[in-house]
Amino acid sequence: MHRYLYKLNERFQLICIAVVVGIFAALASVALNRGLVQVSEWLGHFRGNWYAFVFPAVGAALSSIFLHHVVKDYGGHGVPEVIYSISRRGGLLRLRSSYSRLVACLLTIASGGSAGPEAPVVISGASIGSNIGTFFRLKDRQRIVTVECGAAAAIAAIFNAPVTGIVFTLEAIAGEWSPTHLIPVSIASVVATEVSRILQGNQIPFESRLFHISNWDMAACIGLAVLSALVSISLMRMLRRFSGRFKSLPGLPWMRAAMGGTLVGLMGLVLPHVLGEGYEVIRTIIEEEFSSGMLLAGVVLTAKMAATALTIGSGGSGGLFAPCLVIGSLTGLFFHQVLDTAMPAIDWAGQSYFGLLGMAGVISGVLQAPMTGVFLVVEITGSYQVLLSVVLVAVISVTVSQFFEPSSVYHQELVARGELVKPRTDRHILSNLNMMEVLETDCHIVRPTMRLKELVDIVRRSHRNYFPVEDPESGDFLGMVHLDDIRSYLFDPYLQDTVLVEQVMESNVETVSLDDDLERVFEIFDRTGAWSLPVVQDGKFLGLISKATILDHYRKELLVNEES
Amino acid sequence: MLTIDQAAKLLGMPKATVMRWVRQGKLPTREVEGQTFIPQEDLVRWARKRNIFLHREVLPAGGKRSSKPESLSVIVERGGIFFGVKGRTPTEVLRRSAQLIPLPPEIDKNFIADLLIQREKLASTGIGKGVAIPHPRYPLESLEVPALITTCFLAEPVDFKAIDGKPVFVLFVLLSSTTKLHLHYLSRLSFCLREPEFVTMLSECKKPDDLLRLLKEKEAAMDDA
Amino acid sequence: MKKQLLHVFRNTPFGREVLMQSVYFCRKTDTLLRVYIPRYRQFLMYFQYEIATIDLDKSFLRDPDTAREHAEQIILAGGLKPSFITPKRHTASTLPDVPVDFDYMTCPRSISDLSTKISLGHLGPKVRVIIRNAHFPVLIPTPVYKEWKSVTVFFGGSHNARKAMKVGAELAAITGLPMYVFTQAEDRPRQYYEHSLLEGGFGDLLEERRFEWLFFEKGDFKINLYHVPHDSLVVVGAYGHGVIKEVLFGSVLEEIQTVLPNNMVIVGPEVQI
Repeated sequence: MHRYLYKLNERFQLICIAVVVGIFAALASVALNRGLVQVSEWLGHFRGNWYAFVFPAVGAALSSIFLHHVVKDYGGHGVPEVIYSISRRGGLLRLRSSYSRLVACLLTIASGGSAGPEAPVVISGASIGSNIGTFFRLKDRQRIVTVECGAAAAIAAIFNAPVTGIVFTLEAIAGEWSPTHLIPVSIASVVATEVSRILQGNQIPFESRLFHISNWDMAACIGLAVLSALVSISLMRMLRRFSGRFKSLPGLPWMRAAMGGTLVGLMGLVLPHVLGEGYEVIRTIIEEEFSSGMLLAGVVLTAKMAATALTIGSGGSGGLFAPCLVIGSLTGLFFHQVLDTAMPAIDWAGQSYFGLLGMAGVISGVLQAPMTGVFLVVEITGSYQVLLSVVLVAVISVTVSQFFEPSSVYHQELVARGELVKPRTDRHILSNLNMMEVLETDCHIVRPTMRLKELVDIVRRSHRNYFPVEDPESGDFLGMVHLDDIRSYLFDPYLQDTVLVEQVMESNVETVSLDDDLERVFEIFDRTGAWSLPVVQDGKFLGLISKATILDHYRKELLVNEES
Repeated sequence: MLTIDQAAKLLGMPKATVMRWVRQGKLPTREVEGQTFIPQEDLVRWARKRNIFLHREVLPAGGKRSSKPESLSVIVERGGIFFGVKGRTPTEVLRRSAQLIPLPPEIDKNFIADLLIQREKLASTGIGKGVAIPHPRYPLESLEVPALITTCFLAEPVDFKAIDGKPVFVLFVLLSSTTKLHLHYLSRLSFCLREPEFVTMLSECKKPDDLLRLLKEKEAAMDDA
Repeated sequence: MKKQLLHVFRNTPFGREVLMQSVYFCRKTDTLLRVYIPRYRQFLMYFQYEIATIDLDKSFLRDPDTAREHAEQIILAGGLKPSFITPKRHTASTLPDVPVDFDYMTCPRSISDLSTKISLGHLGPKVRVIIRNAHFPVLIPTPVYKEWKSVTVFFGGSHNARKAMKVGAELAAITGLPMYVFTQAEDRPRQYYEHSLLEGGFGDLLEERRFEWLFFEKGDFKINLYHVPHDSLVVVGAYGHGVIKEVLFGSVLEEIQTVLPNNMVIVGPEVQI
């Protein structure tokens, strides 16, 4: 009875905290949203002037200065930091992260930079979740859940899309679906959506009309899926290239951001569609009011991709979510115009339909999270009718995208640093264990000048096969004696008196240091076929590390990780 | 309530690991004045659910059974020394001897006898020089009694098919709860028996005290060495 | 397992003094000295409940080419072998995470602020964050290199003071130095403190008189502090979490560290014994 009470307690406790996290994360979302509207409106009065092209530059520079010099937050663009925190740091996030990116992205986007408010909101929500968890003195395992709650709540509140919040968090951030995570995350998501509805009203952001979907349209979906996958891939590559280019430039970060901003501003003079989060573009496409030919659609599409890569690559603050949606809808529009020109005889379901599918395709391709794409599009357009086509596009797009880009845009950075550790994998367990924990120190240390006879005495008393040899004066590690190597002459009474330890020791042994991680240790185990390795730090022998002990720890770790 | 140190010993894991488990929220904990404690009942329940072994013997109280080896003379005295045990075949003497072992009444002595006879059939426990060390095949883990050796001098020598073919005149029936203890006592006993004069003196024993004195002397010599 | 001490090296004359203190501590206590030479303006330490963000002033990053060389010279001169830490993990590419699995850490009185602020009575905010969160004791050395010949533990009978007692007794045992225990009785009889020691498992220490008890029943605390030997390593516990506790009880640590110019080991509330 007591056991059930305890379990119930913990779950109940998490659910209560999830509610609190949901409320606060939603407030952060709403605040950013309102801020964006206000500042954009205010800046809108000056938009027509010739000097408007410097706005994105000033905004980006200010946001960079704010991040680096005011709050001193050197983190990246948000989501990778949240994933890192969940997978390797028990969900710890700094309090300053809960507002720093919000302000920075407000400056970037409102001034016209091509980026989205979602990633900053995610890290804010996550940080709010983390700090609320810490406030209640939750341990890592539960705190991870509150962080996920925060992220889900933020997404749910900003899009007025509760299911997307849940799915995005579990698919793209947590990387695992388990009831312990699902329940609190869902609660937070629902609460956040509700709060956002109370404060901003319940509207579907891009309400679409009813479509008439023929078999031709379904067939065309496959083409659109491939196209949107290609767009995703080129967007990811452009981002990487631009950000590499900008990093190699001299000067302070804010100068680089200003430069990127200027370029975006200049593009905006010609094509105002590329500026800002770009939800206006989506709206016109969904409402079938975007009257442009194939060529113009293609140009706007390319320009928007370039603007996004410039804004984010140069150090502006913001996420990829919104630009991906815009690019996706433009891709769909472009595809529709191509179809319309090539096969005018067929009555296509319209640019709205394809724009919608394109959004799902690109979002899924870039995040490599098909379900997120599906639910996001369905929820923000309120159109369950297209579900079938959306799933098809999203799944194909992810498959193609994964073929060329093995990891999603959020994971890339972590993969490059070797920090991507998915839950419940071998790496996850190994990264948890650290050298100090598996170190065995009950070793018999021998001197190089010992006779074999004395070694035999030690062997008799010891239960090990490996004996480290140390210099008695300096205490330096010299080598190892492995019992298997000397067994044949160990009991020869003649040799026992004449042979010294240093003559039988292996001095050229592979060693590991305390800072090595177990992955490297296993590499050496595999390469050398050894069962034990000496741990040597700065020439001093500290202990042995053996496969047997690691197995024991590994198994315990698996057992301990079991839920319930 | 256990401290982290105690919990680490109980789990047989390094303190660093247990501290990490606490931090990760994998262990049931309670905080008192900023110090983390692990409630013992919660830990036991937690471990049982996950099939994790606990080294209960490190607990100061609950340790009923000590796994530390005792001296030979102590366990020989515990097992009792008997003279003139009758019987003409190994099975007969083993049945008689089993009845002599001082065990709590709830343990069926015939069951013990069966175990001894079963083992004897596999291979003779006669180790030569007229001595046999009958024991069950597996250590009696379920037996909630400390290790003991029951010594039975036989009324007349019995052929145990020992390695040297000599008929056996004395049995040392060894019961213990772990293999490790079993081997420990066995090696001590065989060390004593290695010397011919010990065996000679053994054959001249007339009273329990004679044997105990003999063992004590021998063990003292062994520990000095 | 050998214990390890973390030291963040600052490549300035002041940093040299601090490193010499760490070297001395490690040599005395047979501890492995691990040095981190910062390469970025900020680093993070992930403690159990909080991330300590350590912003460094420019003097830490000054002349990185000579930093390693200087540190090596100081450590070798002190008779130890240099051992440097390269953070393996990063929260962001320019934001390294310094590991926290150490047994001690050396902090100057202030890490992030300019060294001009380093004076008695000033504990930098980052140092406070570390003390509050660390599961290891923090060594706060004097601004100028100073050796110590004894260990003095401040013992006020509380649970936290027992932690300090344990750390201090260990240090005294390892170094073989004489040990003093300083107690300012606050309207409580001596038996109360003796009982607390017994309860904390220091019975044998008490019986064998392995320390000299500087026991003050009256007099001003600050004045009595004069009796702490000048060349003693002071071990003192820091109390509780939360603002209220800090305001009510935190003052003992404050007073000690404003008055005593000794090397200090502060045993924070998260230290687990």
